[in-house]
Amino acid sequence: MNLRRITLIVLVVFWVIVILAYIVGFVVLKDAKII
Amino acid sequence: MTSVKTHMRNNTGWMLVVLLCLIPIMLWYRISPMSIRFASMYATIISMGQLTGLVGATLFAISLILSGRFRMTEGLFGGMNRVYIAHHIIGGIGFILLMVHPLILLYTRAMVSYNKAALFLLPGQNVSDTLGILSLLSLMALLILTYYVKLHYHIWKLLHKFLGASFFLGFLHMFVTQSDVARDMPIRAYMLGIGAIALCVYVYRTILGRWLVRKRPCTVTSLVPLAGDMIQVGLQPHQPIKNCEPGQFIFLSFNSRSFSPEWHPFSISSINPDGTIEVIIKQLGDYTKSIAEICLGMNASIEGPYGRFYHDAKTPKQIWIAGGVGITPFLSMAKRLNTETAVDLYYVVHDQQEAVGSGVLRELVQVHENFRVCIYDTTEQKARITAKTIQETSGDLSGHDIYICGPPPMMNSLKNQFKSLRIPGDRIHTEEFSMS
Repeated sequence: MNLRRITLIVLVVFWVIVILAYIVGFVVLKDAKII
Repeated sequence: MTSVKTHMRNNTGWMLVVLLCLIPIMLWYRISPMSIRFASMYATIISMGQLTGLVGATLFAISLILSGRFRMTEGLFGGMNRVYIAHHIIGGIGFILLMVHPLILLYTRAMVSYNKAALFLLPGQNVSDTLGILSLLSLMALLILTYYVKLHYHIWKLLHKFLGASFFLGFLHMFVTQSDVARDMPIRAYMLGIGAIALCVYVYRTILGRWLVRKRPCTVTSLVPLAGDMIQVGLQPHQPIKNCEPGQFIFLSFNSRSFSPEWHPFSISSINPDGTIEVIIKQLGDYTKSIAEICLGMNASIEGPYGRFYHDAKTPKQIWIAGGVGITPFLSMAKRLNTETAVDLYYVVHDQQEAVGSGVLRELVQVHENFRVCIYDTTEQKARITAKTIQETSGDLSGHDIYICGPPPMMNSLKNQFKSLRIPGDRIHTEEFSMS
């Protein structure tokens, strides 16, 4: 697997996590604490 | 022995890169004991976040330093083509680590509150995080455009130049953040040092390169149209170029409105006794499509020469493989061939009519009894050249050094094939810089 492909995978994972963090943090849970 | 020396030197650059990455890890390690650094899941994740940031920033700095085209780095990696390959790999790994860095820290925020985690990714919360986010977003945008979008070369080059600005924002983020770098003097000094060197190289090469980088003015003194949309351009430097070796390449820029001002690499096809050098230009990209505009007396500038493709060649038995315009470094090498060296040159072309320099090669074959040329016409043979074909033609390849210059897929394929024939990797030499 070449570096371009690995970088692309990390990029996609990055944005999936970031978007999920926004959705969970701001839309679903707002300021709910888990601890 | 020569091969071992070459192998050692080629690895020196990479060993130095590893060392430069280990130094911040060691400095970070001594600040706080491991029992605290990895005391809990939370502490371990924080530590991983810090390490990815430190190593990622160091790699990014090294990548910028390598883009400076210094003779020292060329010596460390065994050729400018290898320096640029290292620049690309190191930059890519640094970028991956810099993307992982905020994700790990995001996880630590999410362990406290999801809302806090989401806020962590929004710019404007505080100066330090905003600088980091802006650095990473600009880095992503630029790398997506330069890695994955097919752009005109001059646009690609322009965008690539802005990577230094992303680096600058990232380094500001590192020093503003309340972290070990801000608190501990040795690690701060190290990161500041390597960052300052990288920024100086960036300013020297990218911002002020037009004035600071040494260029040699020259004039176009001969133009010979060749088959296959190629042209041989003779250049007379206004001052003689010393230490110019066969197989090297130069960066060339034509001082004409017909050409965009960026620099392109071209292999030297001939180094003449009167000081002129010749390059062969093929119409391949946006820039080289303008070759019809080149005229006698046109002024140009040369940077270089660079490259160590043939620098350490002392082995008496050699195989040269050229693909298309990849013949250019071999033409200059063949003209300086000594009588003790036995060379089999395989010149791969789509059509024999396009075999540029075949006349010169035929003359050289008459002079050197140990020099053999095989023009391999892929249309006629209805197959690509393979390492096995070469082995069948030249015999036992053990003890041979193999030099390949041609399109990257051809070079990669042949390299792998020779390795599968148990030819050691340090005996296979490729030149990636002559395909402009």
